[in-house]
Amino acid sequence: MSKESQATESKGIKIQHQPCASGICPSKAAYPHDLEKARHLDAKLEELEKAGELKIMRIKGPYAEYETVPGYKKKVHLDHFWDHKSCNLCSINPGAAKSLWWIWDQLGIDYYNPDHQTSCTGWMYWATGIQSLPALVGVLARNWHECYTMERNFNIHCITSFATYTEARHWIIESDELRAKVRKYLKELGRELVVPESIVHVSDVIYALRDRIAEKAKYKLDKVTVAVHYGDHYWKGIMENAIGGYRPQVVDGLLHALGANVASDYSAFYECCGFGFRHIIMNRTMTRSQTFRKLKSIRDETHADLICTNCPGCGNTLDKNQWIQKARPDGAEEFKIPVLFPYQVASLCMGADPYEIAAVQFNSTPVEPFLEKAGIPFDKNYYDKFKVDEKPVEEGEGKIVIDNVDVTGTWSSFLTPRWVNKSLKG
Amino acid sequence: MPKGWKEWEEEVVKHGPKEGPLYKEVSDDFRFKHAVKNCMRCGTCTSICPAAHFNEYNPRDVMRIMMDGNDQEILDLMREKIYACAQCHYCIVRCPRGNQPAIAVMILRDISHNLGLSEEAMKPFTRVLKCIMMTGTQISPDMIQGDFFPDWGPKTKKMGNFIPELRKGLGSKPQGYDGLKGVDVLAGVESAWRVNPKTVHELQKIWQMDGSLERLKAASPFLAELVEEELEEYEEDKDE
Repeated sequence: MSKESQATESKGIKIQHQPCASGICPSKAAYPHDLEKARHLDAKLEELEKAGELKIMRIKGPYAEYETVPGYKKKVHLDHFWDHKSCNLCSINPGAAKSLWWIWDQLGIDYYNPDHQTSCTGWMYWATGIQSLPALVGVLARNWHECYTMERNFNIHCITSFATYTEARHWIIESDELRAKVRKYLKELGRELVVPESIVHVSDVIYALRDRIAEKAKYKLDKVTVAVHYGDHYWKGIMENAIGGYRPQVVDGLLHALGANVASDYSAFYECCGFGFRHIIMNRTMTRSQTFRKLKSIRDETHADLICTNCPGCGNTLDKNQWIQKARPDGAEEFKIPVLFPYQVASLCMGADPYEIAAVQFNSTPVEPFLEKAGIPFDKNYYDKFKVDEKPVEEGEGKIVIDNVDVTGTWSSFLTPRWVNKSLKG
Repeated sequence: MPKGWKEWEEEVVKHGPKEGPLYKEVSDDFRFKHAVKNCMRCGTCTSICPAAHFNEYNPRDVMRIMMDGNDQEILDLMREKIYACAQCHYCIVRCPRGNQPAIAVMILRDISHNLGLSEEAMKPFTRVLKCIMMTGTQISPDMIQGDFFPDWGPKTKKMGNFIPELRKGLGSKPQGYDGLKGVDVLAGVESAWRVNPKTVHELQKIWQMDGSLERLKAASPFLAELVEEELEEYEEDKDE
């Protein structure tokens, strides 16, 4: 096993190690229990392997080491990936997944895209709880073992999967009962319990590779301002695993390397996007009301040309809930901030085709203004070939029709913060 | 063990509210000691909670109830309030005492399934459930259509008509697909990617061994039956 020390420090690129200007970021000292937890889990994992309870899936090939928010040293693999795909990305933003594979090819990285991989099934846990904890961890451990048999590194594309695998690692090390159950399920399938030494998200890998990406970049982002949002499940609650200083820095780091003006110091930085697992399906009123808080802060405080996030759920929520803000009963709000994933930004800068590789046509908020401003070439007549015979939607009393789309009823309802005193407002 | 709302309401009355069987179920979960430490009720969690911003929900109250162990209040939480939580985990970041209100909510959701109290909560999820149980992926591209999501605007509506065509070729690349022999994993709109049927059966089998399939029966008997049939067929094929 070799260590690529060069990758641990960026070439002259300043990363946010200082407290944020707003003063709301806690210091590293705020998370002593997270640091303690991470070290305790590592030690116990080694003990469990010695006792023959499980095997550790160690990193194959080169790796880099970074400090996480509470000060824990985390290993990030740099080659031989077993790409654990994201159902959200592959369904809604396939261009982000395609961009990753394209980048691996450009950098000559060895990867494998398995068909013996299931979703992490996190939705069935976080959204509903219908899947019990042992079943959830069983499904995750099945994926771990599949990767182990291929002798590769477990490379997670989704943020919720990242949190779920991190938590599963925690639970399986801590609970003897859970471990016994999961081992039983795996034995029944002819598999064994394997636990990775480090849980790595693909945005960690992209961060580690940022200098190599920047070297190959044909276009720099020096003309654009990019607002950054981190998926809640990248760091909140699992702080010990999130690379950063006073707050996560993996997306900031990549954007700095590409020359962008990075704006992550807006007042709603810590806010959730509104995705909420359940809410995006059955309570979109809450989702779009919460997304508004986030978007308004980004638009008014940063004047960003782009939002960049490492979470598939957040990316979709922030992208797809912009147009409907025109229906706000307290006054129409116009948002036109495109949303991209760091891998799409990286591939675009490296010269990937915006439609064939980064597939920005899947975004609901047009990305072309950002491409124009950044000087990235794109086919200006791309949409001409997509013709739909659209009939005008009938307008009538009580109907809400915007841009020829009928959004009457719950499709355009919004929530008011519950402590707003309506009587005072008259 | 009682099952259903009516039975549990009677049980709570019979036992009295303090530290009854419901609290025992909750506090016996091994996550409980990590989630509920010693809340001093400062309210930091509630002040930053997006769910509390818009709903009659309050993580500080969740922590109080978890520490008081009042069965009647736990039952009330399970009825609706625990589903307001967006699982953003901001409360975990902010708590000065290292409590985890969001994980406490997860314990309550989990246990409500065992106690037969989750039927209503599962109703909107039948489609996602079907997708995961039958294809091995949770979301499929054909879920994203303008008719289902008019609030996602005119571009989503228009481009929704061309999704199968747009996805062609995005997932095929000779390098890195050696095991798949150049198969376009992203082609098709019924699952996020093509999962090998053997792997889907392994997932179903885990649900069956664990008892989550029994929980599925309460939420969607038809789907549970479908999964059981598939599992039987698979076992028969394997024997042959």
